Amino acid sequence: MAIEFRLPEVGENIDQAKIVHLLVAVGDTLQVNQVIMEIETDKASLEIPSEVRGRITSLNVSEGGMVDVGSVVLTVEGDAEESVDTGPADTSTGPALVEIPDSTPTPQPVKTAPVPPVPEKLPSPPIPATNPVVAPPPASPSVRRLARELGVNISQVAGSNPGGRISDSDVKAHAKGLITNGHGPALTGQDAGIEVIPLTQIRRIIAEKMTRSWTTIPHVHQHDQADITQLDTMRRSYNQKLAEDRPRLTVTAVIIRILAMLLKKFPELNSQLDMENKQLFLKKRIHVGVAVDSEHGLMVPVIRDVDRKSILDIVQELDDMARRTRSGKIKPDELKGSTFTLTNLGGIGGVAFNPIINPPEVAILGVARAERSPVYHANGNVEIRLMLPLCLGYDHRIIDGAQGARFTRELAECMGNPLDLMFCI
Amino acid sequence: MSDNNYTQIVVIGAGPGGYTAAFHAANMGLEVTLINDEGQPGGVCLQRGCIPSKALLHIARLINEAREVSEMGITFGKPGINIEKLRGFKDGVIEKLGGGIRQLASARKVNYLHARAEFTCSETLKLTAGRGAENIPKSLHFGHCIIATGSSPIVPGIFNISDERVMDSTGSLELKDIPDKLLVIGGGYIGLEMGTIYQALGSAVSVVEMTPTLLTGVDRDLVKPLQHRINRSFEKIMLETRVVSLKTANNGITALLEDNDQAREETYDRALVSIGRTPNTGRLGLENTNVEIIERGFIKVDERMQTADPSIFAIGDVAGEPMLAHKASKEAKVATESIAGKKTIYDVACVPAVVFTDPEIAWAGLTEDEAAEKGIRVEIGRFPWAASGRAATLARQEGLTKVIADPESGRILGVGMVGVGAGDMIAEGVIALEMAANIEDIAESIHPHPTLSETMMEAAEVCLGHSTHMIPRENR
Repeated sequence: MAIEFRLPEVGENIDQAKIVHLLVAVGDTLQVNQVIMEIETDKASLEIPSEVRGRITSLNVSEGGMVDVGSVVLTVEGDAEESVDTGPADTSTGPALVEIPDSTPTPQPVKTAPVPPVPEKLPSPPIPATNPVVAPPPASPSVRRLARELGVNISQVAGSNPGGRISDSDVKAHAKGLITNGHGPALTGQDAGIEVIPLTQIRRIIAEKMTRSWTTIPHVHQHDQADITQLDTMRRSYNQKLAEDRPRLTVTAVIIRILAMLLKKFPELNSQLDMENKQLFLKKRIHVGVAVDSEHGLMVPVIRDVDRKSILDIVQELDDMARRTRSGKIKPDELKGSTFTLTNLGGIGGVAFNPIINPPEVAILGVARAERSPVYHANGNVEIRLMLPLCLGYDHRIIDGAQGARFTRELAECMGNPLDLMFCI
Repeated sequence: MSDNNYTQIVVIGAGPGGYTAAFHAANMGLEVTLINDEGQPGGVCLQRGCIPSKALLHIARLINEAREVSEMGITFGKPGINIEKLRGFKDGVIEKLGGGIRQLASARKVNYLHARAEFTCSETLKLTAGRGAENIPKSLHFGHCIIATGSSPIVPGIFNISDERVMDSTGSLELKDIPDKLLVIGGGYIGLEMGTIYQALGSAVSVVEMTPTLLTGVDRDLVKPLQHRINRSFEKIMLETRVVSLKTANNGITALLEDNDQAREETYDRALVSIGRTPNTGRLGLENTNVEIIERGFIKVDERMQTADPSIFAIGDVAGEPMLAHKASKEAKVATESIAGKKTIYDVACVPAVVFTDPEIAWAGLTEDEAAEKGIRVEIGRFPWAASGRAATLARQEGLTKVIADPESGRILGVGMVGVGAGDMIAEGVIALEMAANIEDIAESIHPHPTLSETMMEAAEVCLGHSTHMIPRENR
């Protein structure tokens, strides 16, 4: 009996998903609850467990491809009775499992077994096989208690003893693994006070990248302030003359242009460290990544060769890229290859923050909100100036304090001095 | 009443679930009030269940052994039975253990109140003082409540004929007299245990059971030796037979029995109705709380024993089958530890069950019938006590020990036993299941010789195909 497995509902208003990983192949013997593939929708990524079992005779999807909800993912050869009804079904989700008799030439659904919807917020993947009543995880009561106390789901611990029995050291090793992988104590979605949300691909990448950065790079953060009173006046008067639909000259664009000049002067800040071979790559080209807050999470589109572009080019490109990033139309290639990153949170507010380096880069510039502050001059006069807080995060393995401070100071000086600005722009 | 009538934890019911909960909570430093609707603690288990029945079953065993030992050349005279004194012994046991619980309660500063409790809302109980009880507040506010009110025997209306000779298990344990002819309605463990007691004391015991088997749910090979024995010692075992009605007659209770369309009347001196128990959840004012009642009157609880009302927990018979004291005690610990904020859940591998007949039947974990029903493939090692030296010395070789294991991993999934002392021996099976032991673990552990516990080791060896005292299958 050939049994088709169709992609069940994966969430509200989602009718298509991307296959990130395909974990089975034609000829494999598929078990119920075995994970067939990992898919990603624009809302979430999740694993799709099988509702059927048997030998896979055809596979209609491929890794990286798209799959429609309700379409046939694969067909298995097996006994119809072996397909399991996994519980109370919501018939509104429609049939996902259709049994086709071999003799019928045109596929004719003879029986539909409703399959419960795969919730959008999928809890940890179901644990396959054994009847929980008959055979709970093979661990003694004291080991089960230890697991609960450590927040470890005992059914996910691999036992190292004969018969797969789980020892206290297995539980501890598992807990340690969870912690080093950046997970806290495992919670389960069974607690009514907890909602389970699978990490999106973006979130996972950010999490992994930031963990790697923070745990491997010895960060130093250099704080400074740039007096942008004059710059701001110039910028505003320039913008006033622009037509309504022209992109505005922004502080970010100005900083990018200054960075182009400064990174040439301080090439170590535009480098990449190769610890393994004990060498440093100085990058001749300067590509500045600009952190953009999108509804999918943080994204960093890259403005290439900023040293070869005019400020107006940069303004134009920045506006275009930010817009396409927010609407999800940015191309993957445009999110790669930055040599230095800029993150400007001034639009939101705040006094200061310490940005984390975006590996494999070695430095990042954070910009907070400009505020009017009293500035005391040597002659005793006090002036109210518009001060822009800057923070350079840098890799101390490559860049020393003096160099970091000099870079930041020069940036601030340059922004504060319209003459310097003219030269550099 | 003033607001100082507040307790951190109140436990309703002082049976093996309730008093364990109270003591465990007190051990953890919580302030506990234990409310019981009778003066003495202990619940059904101590007052009119496990303990008195076992006291009497011990006597029954002595009487039977004294008779059977004549086969070995030792003859005792017919036993003289002083029923007042016997009742005194049984009541003395209850008194002693009840006093012990009171002592343990006061040593832990558990506030014991003899009163009936009813919820007025999710945080407050209305109390009605028990007879003779003093200083009982009218109401009590609590942080958390544990309901442990147990269960009562079911006596359907047709058997409720206002004649004290028709008894439930409670009445039968009072031991008013020793009827010449006793009818036991229901072939479950209570009926068979009480039947065993009355048979030994001299009654002609007849058992009537609606279904085709005694002890429904227990593997047949475990029931067989018991059935074989009581077929001889009991007057009559009537399977697939219904009691249509009970009537008061001059010389006893007349039962109208019906099997395969044939009806007949029989008269007995007393009748015992033992067809099941029902949880005591009806008169607690639960409708004033968010506690959810499910089928058969049980309270719905989660794995922490918490009800749908977050401040209220439920344990023991009210929280679902099996209605066994040791399950209640375990649940008591789970509930109190949950309330104390510990990450405890009820995740036991098995709840052992014992039928204290002669021979005893005990099992834990998966049964053979359950495996067949659920299509679970198992390997079974059976060791008949006919091959046990110790059983031979006791002249009780009808027993059987079996282990049920996963054929792939060898992990033990169930253990079943029938024979003298099976109830005590099943604990090894429980440990094996909880520790996720496999067949080899049991077979490789030295069991003391000569004891009945060796049968467990040998059953495991049968599974492995090399029992010392059994001829391997292929050689037979």
